[in-house]
Amino acid sequence: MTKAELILQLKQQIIEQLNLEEVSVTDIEDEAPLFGEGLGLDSIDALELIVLLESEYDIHLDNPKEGKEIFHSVASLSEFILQYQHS
Amino acid sequence: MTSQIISYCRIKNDGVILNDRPLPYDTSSLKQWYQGLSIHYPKFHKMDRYSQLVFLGVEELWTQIRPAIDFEASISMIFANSNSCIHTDMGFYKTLEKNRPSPSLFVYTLPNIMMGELSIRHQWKGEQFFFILPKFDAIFYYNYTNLQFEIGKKFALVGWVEQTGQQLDLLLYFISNSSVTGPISIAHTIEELNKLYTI
Amino acid sequence: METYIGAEYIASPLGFGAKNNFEACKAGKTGIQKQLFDGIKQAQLPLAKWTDQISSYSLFDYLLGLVLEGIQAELTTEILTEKDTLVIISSTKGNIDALCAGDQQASLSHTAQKLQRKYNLYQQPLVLSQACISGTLALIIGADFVKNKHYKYVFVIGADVISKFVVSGFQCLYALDEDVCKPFDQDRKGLNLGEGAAGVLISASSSIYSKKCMQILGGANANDANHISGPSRTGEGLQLSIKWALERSKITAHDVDIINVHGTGTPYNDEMESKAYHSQQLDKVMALSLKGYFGHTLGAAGLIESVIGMQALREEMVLSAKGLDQQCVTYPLNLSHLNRKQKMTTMLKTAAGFGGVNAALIIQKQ
Repeated sequence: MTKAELILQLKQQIIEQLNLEEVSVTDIEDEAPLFGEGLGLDSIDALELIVLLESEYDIHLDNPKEGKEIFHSVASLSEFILQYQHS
Repeated sequence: MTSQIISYCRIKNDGVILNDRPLPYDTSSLKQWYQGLSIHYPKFHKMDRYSQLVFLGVEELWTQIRPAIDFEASISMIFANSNSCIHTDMGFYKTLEKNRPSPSLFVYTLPNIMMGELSIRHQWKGEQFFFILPKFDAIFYYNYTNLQFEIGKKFALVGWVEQTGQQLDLLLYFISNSSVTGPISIAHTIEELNKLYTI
Repeated sequence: METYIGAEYIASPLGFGAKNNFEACKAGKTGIQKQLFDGIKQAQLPLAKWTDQISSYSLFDYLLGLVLEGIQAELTTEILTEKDTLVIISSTKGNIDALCAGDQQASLSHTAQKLQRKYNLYQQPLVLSQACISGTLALIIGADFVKNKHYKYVFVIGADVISKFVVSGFQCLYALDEDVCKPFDQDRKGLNLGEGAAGVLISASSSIYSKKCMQILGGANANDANHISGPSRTGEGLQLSIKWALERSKITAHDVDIINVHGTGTPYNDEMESKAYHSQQLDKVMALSLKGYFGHTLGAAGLIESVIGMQALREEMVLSAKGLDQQCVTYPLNLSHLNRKQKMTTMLKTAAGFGGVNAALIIQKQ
């Protein structure tokens, strides 16, 4: 899977996992922050993203604090997944 | 001062009644109902079904009486049902069985969360209560609402919020113990509460 | 009219009876110990959980009965079956594991019906389920019922038990400390779950109690209106509930001798509390922090902690803040590393929970 494909897939998965009904794939910019201003995600959403990483990518985070940088944007999340898959 | 029911909403599978008039919504699609309200509140889609139902019902009630009321902290919320939030419990339990427990579902397995959502939406910071009763009990509601008035509250938002299997059974109403009136005025009596419930 | 509280009882892994539990705390014991538990995955978890089976049927139902009998045993007259007696049950999730496994009789309303049949109660017990303020709020409701003459006697009982459902839920929220909890400490990482039950009788008559009773002055609850799971950063809801509780009790912050805090050991909760007490000029008042002894017993916590607080008032003894080494919150509380002898009469009990709920209650020794 190319990075662009992964990014598209992640956007779809995030919308589904977090029930972002009024958001479409084109509304999420690759580099825009997911939390705070961006999509307005909160702490529970961050934990749901950890579940998503586990169930869809078999990546386990021990400490939710690790998620802070990883979940900064869809781009950073895709880079983390690609790196994990190649290591 | 006698207290009055100033607005009510009855939600069942076959439709929604707001102050004696049917609303054009099908309760099998809460999303459609939400869209009919023309509001922007993305958090709605994250809520469990109990919270969504209560949210929508209270939006309808509130648009009817908002201009008349400025009550902030003097409102009490009194909610009850017979089985807490069993639907959401089972939803979380399913994620647990798959060994992927969902944190957001877990939070909604507390029945008072639906009142928390209303607090956030409307910035209501006053007192709230969630009771488990075997069935709708007009005598209890009547007495407990009066107790709130006895300790100085002026308004109450009262709710029976039940989902049994696929059956929806909700009654939400505002009561005023002040001179504030609403689109309807029904005496707050056990008999009238039973009448509203049997609509 | 005065509203009295007494005949208190606790059942916890630390022991049975209010005095036994208080003695265990005084001796520095804790109910929390690491044990193998099958949550999201099987792991060693610090829990305040009975290690042997103490009941052959539902532990939850058993505990409620035990508490009811424990309270009745401290009364001068048998009043359980009276028409003007009400039982309030507080719990967050009751028999949730059994319920999810398909046992329809395991719901909270069934527990209430079973209790009514078993003890031949005239009134159907009233169940309150309001996250982690359930126990404290049930006391407030009981006091309001008595004060406003809805009932003459209100037994307020509460219980919660350790379940796979709740443990896994807190695990996926990353809210549990893998070691013994450290409320208000710089290294606090989360809470420990506990199980247990407690109860009291609230009444308009002081003569019903075998031992000297206390007064319950008043209480209130308030919502943060901020977030459904995260505590408010400012502690606004807790501030409001304290303010209203003091107003209704017709006392001021200066009259409070001891705060019986919620103190779960999660970084955000303890910080939020410190801000709320500071805003109400209460941060210098002696504080009682009890989660290090009992863990977080959820719907029973407010009751267990109020009852321990009542023993503290009786014995004029403030227990050490178990688990605390170096305190680290914005406005440090007056917590102690050692048990302290202290004259005191008026206690503020607080609680906070999911859904943005907060509660505050005043109990006064006569």
